[in-house]
Amino acid sequence: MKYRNLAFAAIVAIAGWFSASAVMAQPSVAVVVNKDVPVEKVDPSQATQLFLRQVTTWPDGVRVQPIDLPQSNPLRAEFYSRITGRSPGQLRAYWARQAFTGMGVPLREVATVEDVNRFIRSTPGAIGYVERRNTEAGLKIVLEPAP
Amino acid sequence: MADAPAPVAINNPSDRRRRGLLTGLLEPSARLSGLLSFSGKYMLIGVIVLLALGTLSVPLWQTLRHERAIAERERLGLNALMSFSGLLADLVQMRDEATRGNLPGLGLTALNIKIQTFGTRNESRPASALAAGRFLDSWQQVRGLTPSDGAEQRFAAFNVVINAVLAWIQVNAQEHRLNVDPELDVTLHALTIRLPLVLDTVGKHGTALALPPEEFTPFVFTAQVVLTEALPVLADAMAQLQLVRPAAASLTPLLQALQQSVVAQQDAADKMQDGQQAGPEVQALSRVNQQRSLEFMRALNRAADDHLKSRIDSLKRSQWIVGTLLVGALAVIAYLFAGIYVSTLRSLNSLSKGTDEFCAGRLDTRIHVNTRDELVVVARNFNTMAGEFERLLGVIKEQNDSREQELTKQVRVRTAELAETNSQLHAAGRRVQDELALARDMQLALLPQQFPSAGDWKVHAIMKPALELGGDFYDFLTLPDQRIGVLVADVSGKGVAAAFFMAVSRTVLLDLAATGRSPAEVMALGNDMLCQRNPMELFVTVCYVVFDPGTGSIEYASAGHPTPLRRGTDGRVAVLPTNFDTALAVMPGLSYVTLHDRLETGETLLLYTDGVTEAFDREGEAFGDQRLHNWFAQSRADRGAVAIVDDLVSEVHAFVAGAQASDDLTCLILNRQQGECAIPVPPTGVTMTNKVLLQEFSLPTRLSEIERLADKVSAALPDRPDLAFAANLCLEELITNIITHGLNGAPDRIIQVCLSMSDEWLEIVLKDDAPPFDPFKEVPEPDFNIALEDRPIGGLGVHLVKTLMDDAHAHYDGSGNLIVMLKTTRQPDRPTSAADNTNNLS
Repeated sequence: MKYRNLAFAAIVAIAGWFSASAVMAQPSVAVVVNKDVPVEKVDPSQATQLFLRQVTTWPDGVRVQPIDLPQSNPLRAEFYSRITGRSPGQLRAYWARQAFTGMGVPLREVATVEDVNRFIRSTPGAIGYVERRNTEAGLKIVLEPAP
Repeated sequence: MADAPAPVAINNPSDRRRRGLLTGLLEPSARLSGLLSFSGKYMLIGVIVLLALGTLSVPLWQTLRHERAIAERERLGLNALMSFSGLLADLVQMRDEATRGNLPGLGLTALNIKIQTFGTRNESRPASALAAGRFLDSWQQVRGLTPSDGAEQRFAAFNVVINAVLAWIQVNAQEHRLNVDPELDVTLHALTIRLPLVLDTVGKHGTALALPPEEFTPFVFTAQVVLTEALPVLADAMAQLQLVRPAAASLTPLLQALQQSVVAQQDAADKMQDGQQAGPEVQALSRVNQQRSLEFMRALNRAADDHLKSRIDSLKRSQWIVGTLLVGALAVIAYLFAGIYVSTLRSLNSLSKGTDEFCAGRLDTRIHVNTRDELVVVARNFNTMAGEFERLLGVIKEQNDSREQELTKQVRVRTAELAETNSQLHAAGRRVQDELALARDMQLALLPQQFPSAGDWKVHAIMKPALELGGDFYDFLTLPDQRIGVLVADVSGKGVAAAFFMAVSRTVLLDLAATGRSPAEVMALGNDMLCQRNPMELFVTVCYVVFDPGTGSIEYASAGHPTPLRRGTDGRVAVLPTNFDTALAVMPGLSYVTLHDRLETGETLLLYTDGVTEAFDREGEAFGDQRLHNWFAQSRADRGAVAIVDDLVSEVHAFVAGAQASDDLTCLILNRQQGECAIPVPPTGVTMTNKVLLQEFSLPTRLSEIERLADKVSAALPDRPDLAFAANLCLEELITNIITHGLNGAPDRIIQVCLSMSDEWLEIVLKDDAPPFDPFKEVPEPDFNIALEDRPIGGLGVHLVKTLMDDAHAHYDGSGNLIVMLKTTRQPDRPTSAADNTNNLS
């Protein structure tokens, strides 16, 4: 029963991705975590809290290690726009406020999606976002937004 | 007194009620006080006062201690704040350098050591421990920064650390109560919140300019706001500090310099609004202001600390003052109480001692109490009482003395009168005594002192009157038929009357007995005669015994008298039979019975009056019949009648042991024994076979007695008139010489004569009590050659004796002269010369 639902969801997702990529020609983003992270799925709201450092630990107590892509990477703008609903300007202002008041440190950035994959694989508690099609083995997808 | 008006207060009902209420309220306390001694009362009050003082003082002292502890805690907080401010300044400087790209460096390493030391302090309080944990965590993020991390990243990481330090500073302030200090709340608020924030902000203001302006410019303005808000608070803090510590005014230049340079930094930053390049200027001012902030913070910290230190000193002083006051108050109270107690005790001791002395008889005792309390009244009342008492006693003593003098006078007069009367009485008594002594002598003279005896029997008696005059008597007489009558009587009563009646009775009885009547007749006739001569209605008990020396037979009659006792040769004592006839002079016309018995040789007869058996000792016990019987049984008949009588008197005397004699004591012993001369004759050396005592005489020294003696000698030798003749001749010569020359005619002496005969010899023994004289040696032989008329007087009698007797000699035995003469019993028809017989003498 469970697998049937999963298969159905996967079909729907794939269908959605194809239609989206066909229509918008934008890369499809997925939220991935280190395979040891004890969470299978997160919703967009939870993903937003994790990437804005509003939640800093996983249920097993391991510190959440979000990893970001440079502002120049289009996947970053898509991820924040689709998942958190924040524009790049809003996001900059958010991190500037946090940094100035000492309430938080902006996320670490790596240059490429491959670096993201590598970081997540090797870092316990790591979480990041990648292109759907670049999903590598050893990563656990916890969120795939609908196209 | 009953008419005197009562005090108004007592009649007033409301006052009475008040007094009653007051008394009722005070009653429990009064009862408690009554249960305690003075020391207990003072101790109780002292303890209560001590408790009250303690209750009041201890909270005050505790409050002072608490405030002092708080102040000391605040000082610890300020001390920690000083360290925090240094750390903060270092971090702010390091942030600037790190943000500008100078990471890492030696400074970071040195700061790391400092932070590690700081963060691993032993923070026991949970809030501090939490703040320290956050600080170390945030520092780890700084430590985790890599060269790839951008300026924004570094800036943010340091801000997190500085935020943690600021938060920790606030926790420290709260835990050390710096935020709620009653005097320096504004000052300490500025010191713990505003000034660290100013230090951070002036630094951050300069550092933020190095970041992308499009993102951080709004926040630079925010820093302006923070600084603008902070400056007036710093001024308020200074003002508050100066209020409690005017010396803090010296910090004013520091504050003003800080204020001015902060304003300058703000002005420089504002220039950037116009697009001017003010970055370096702001940065320079930022560094100056960091330095000034730190200096001012430290100076303010020191000033606040100084104030707290002076506050602690003041609290210490207050504590010391409170303690000293408490101890001093206690000491003063204890001293006062002790003084009150000692004073009261001294007063009470004076009262007690005075009372004791007064009770012991010192009536002049007065008590002096040198106080002004109520005990003075007690002492005064005592003194008044003692004075009054002494005065009254003086009055009584005076009266007593007067009365005593009067009595003494009367006694003296009466004594003199009594002495006179006594003297008269004494003289009269002496006369009576003399008369009584004379009467006693006369009465005793009535009683025979010479007791009849012969060689084979003896009589001896004694009468001891209880008073001067007795009622007992005894007597003897030789009846016409040569029997011996003995008489013992006891007149009722004692004293003069009894003595007179005794004399009458004796005369009557002896007269009757001399007629030779039987004892019964003597009694009967005597009774009748005495009844007629008895005006005093006395009576007399009599025992009259007639003894025949030749046969030993006895006749007797007893008129109410104790029956005679007879002691046998075997020592057994027997009461002679009796008819229990009535005493004489009781009533006339009575008849009496003569009883017959016999006294064998060696037996003894005892006649006595009840003065013997009713002799009482001091315990009132009588000598009694049994004791008399026992004594008589144990008496020795061979010691002779005299010794037996003396023994009995001694026995009774020993028994009564000095007790007053209640009755006259009379006893008479008639002792029949083997014939033997009573005169101890020294051995003569001649053999005397079957020697028998023929006659024994106690001859009164009267020449007229010689004839009676001659009759008795003749009677004793009825078969040998020749021997009797010779004996009488010699006795006459010798006795005449003794009476005439030896005793010079003294009439009241006794010459004892014993006449014994054996188969061979007639022995004649004389004993006198004259001075020593041996007629056979001291009297010269008569010279028959001289003419009769020329011969000297004397010598012939002695010569006659020598001629008539076969042997005659004399010697003095210490008590008298003893003359022993021997005459042979051979018949004269066979004449034998004395020389033959003397051959037998050796």
